[in-house]
This record gives sequence, C-alpha cells and structure tokens, in this order.
Amino acid sequence: MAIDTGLGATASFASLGLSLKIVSMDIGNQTLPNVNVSTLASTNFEEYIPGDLAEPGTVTFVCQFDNAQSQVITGTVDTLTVTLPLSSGGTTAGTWVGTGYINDVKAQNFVKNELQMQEIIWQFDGGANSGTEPTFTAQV
Amino acid sequence: MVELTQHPAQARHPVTNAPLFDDDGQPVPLLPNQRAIRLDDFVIGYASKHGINFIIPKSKLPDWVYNTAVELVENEFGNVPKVTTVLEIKTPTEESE
Repeated sequence: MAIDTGLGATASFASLGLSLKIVSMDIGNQTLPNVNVSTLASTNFEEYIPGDLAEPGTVTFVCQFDNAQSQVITGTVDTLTVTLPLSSGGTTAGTWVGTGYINDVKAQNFVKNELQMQEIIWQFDGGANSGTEPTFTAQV
Repeated sequence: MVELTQHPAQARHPVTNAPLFDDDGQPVPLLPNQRAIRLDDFVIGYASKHGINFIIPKSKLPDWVYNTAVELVENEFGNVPKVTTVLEIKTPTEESE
C-alpha cells in the first residue's frame, strides 16, 4: 500500500524550463461523454451508452508569483511529468506524464498583506500530433 | 551514485490500457527520448535534449551531484541548453508577520 499526502509532488516540463513555486496541483477529470439512447419504449430511467472519446483533462497549478523567474508562455507544446511523492517502501515514485500546452494563465492580484499568486492551467493534448496521452505509471 | 536512466513512465496498450513489457520483462518506455537522473536509485530530476529539470531545490543539491548530472546529460545529448530546479517555498510564519 502506498497512500500519501500531496506534499512533495513535483512538476517538470521537458523543454519550457519553468521553475514554479507550486502551492497546489490539481489533475483534472478525464471525462467520457454519455450518449443518450432512450426511446419512447424506455421505462423508468434515461438510458445511456459510453461515448467514444474522453476529454484528456487539465492540470491546474496554483503558484507563488516569482518576478525573477522566466514567465509562463502559453501555447508551446511540451511534455509534463508530475512526479508523486515517494511513499515508504518505494524507490521510483509514480508519475503522470503527457504532452500538452499551457492554455490559461491568471496573473497575480496585488493585495496588501497577501502574497502575489498566479494560476496556470495545463491542457493535455490527448496525444495529438504523435504526442503522449496522459498516462499514469504506478510507484515501484 | 549519480546515473542517467530511462524516464520511468511506462507505455500502455492503446486498447486495453495495460502496462507494456518487452520480451525481457522490462517496462516499455513511454518517453524514449527522455531520461531520469537518479541519485542512489531515487529520481532527482529529468533530462532531455532541451536540458535538465531537477525536481528538488538547488539548496538540497550538492555541487558534485549537479556537476555529475550535467556531465552525464552532455555525454548523452551533446549539450545542456538550460537547467532548472524546483523553487523553495518560504511561507511567512507568525513570527515574521
């Protein structure tokens, strides 16, 4: 068993060269659409079959804004590796890996007595253009 | 010991999504062109032709580890365009506020 908290998780971009002061990471939903197959002969419930293609999802980073670091570029295709915290008994932590791009950056607010924070959203591209689908590899 | 190994992410079957292994029972790499930098077996960063991204803060990275990793990646990919590390988060404490 390798259950753990989120402390120690890291994000690595293969070519963007970002150093982010990450406070939280949220790996979003992979959502398969529902296809309604109900007819006038259906009884009691709507009837569904699974759709064909799932949305690959996003990763949302909440970061402390660092004015001295390279700033985020939207739209550049890259490979993201999210490395999970290494749980006891393991030598190689689990990973989430996939190609995609940053498609949304919320720049900081300026408020007294509060840190400047920014929110960055990574869109997995689902393996478009010979990329890599979002893939989870378990800890060993 | 610092060494460069295959990126640990494992390829999966496109239909069944089952992890793939080669004829020798080794995991099939998902990212053949990326490497993991390991210190005594533990992954401390990743590398590709684009450079190195350490996943630990620079302050916790001894110089000899940093230099060895850069040398290994230079030998593998020819050059190291840039090196990044995780930034340390310093959260204000009650005393400092």
